[in-house]
Amino acid sequence: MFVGEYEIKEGLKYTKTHEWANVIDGTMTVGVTDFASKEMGDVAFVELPEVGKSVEKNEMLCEIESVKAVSEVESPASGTVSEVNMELEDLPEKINDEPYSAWIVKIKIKDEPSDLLGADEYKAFIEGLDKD
Amino acid sequence: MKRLPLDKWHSKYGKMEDFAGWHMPLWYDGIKQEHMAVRNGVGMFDVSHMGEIIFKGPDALVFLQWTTTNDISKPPPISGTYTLVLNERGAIKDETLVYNMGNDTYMMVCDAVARPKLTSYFKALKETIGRFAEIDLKVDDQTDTTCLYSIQGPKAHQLCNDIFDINLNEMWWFQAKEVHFGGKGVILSKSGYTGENGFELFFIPDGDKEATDLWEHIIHMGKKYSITPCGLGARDTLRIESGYTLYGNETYEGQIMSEWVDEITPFEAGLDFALFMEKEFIGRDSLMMQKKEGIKKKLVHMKLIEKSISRSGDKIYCNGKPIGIVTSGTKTPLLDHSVAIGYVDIGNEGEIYIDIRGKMRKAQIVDAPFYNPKRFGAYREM
Repeated sequence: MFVGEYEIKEGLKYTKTHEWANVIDGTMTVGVTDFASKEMGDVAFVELPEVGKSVEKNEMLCEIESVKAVSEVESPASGTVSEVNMELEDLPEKINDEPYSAWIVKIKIKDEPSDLLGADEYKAFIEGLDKD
Repeated sequence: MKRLPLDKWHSKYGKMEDFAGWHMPLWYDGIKQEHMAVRNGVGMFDVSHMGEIIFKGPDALVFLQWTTTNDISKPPPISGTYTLVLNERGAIKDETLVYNMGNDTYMMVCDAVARPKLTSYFKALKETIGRFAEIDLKVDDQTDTTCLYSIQGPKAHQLCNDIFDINLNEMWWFQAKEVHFGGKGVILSKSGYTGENGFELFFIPDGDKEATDLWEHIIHMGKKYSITPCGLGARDTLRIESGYTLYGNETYEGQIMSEWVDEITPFEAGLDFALFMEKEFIGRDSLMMQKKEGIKKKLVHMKLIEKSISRSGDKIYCNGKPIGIVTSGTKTPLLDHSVAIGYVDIGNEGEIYIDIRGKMRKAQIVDAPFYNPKRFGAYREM
């Protein structure tokens, strides 16, 4: 589904800081939403975290450098980084081109957080932002 | 918030941002694409937020010779001179272009951020002089009524030839000609801020529609050259890649950056080509003294060796001690490394590192422009 030009993919979970998350068997795959990628503009670098790093919910997971500015990706859950998408080292622009395939990290999570938004809730959240 | 005559057009197609009190387009399809359009073809910027201050009267030339650094008496109408406005300490109030428009009239094109300050400064100076002597001069800020469109890139010349049907060959930098659009006069100047050949169009539209008509006419005529509208984002990456200074970043008065770097003089910024020391001007005495004593810091262009982007405010280190600060930095779409401009203390030898959010990243001082001038820019080999 779309809000204006922004795509929202059904079946994923979302945060108000514009990350998407997909949990399968205790592993959460995290990326940034189409809205986030369009807001930050052309991505130039992704500063990937190290595998094995433990992360806390709502703390910085990694940084995305767009041509214009740096943006932080917040971790939607607490856990340990189990995998990073090395493809983004050479092709950071994939975050702009296919934000929902260009996953950034996978996290082995302890518990699935209960406050993540469903696609409909995230859609309503984006629509609310639009009115400002 | 001020809005450009083209605000509706920009808001429809672009991502907008507030800049210097104006609602401005940051990009349309993206900085990368717009940047590359200017390096390889042609792009157009609406920079109508930039200041146009008109000085008119028999005393205009003398006044501008005294308040700016370069010799503006030589260029014939219509042509411009790059000249600096300094404070009495020799620090840069703004970098400007002053056009001799003929009939004792001069147009100063200045930075959007500096414009309100400059307008008040010039008006106050004129008032002060007026208390002691006769002065026949009008200072008029026409920014709000003047549109400025900048057409830049290797195809800009052909495109402007097509649109205005005049011979633009042999025009020198900052030379201008009066052309016409719909019976109305438009000043076309050979100038820009991208490192490429380009032309800037100044005109005073009758309402937003006329402004939009000219913009859309240029877009229409530029289709065969794949003209791309460009926002402030690409304007900044293009000027950084060319190594150009920007008021508020590389040039400023007062201490706006940090405790690290005091205000900037033309010698420190490498802008002494704009100084005509054979005349009197405000700030000249301080510059003479600095010339005698020598400068302590200087502007440098840096290439990042590691994959990271330095931004304004990052500290520069050499042999473990801080030696300067970054004033502009970005990753340009043309180059495979990121670039930065900044100031360093003179006299340090050794490898330099930039502290980018807590990580020391290796950098190297290089010559500007950052791009290969044989392949890109106004002096490329065809």
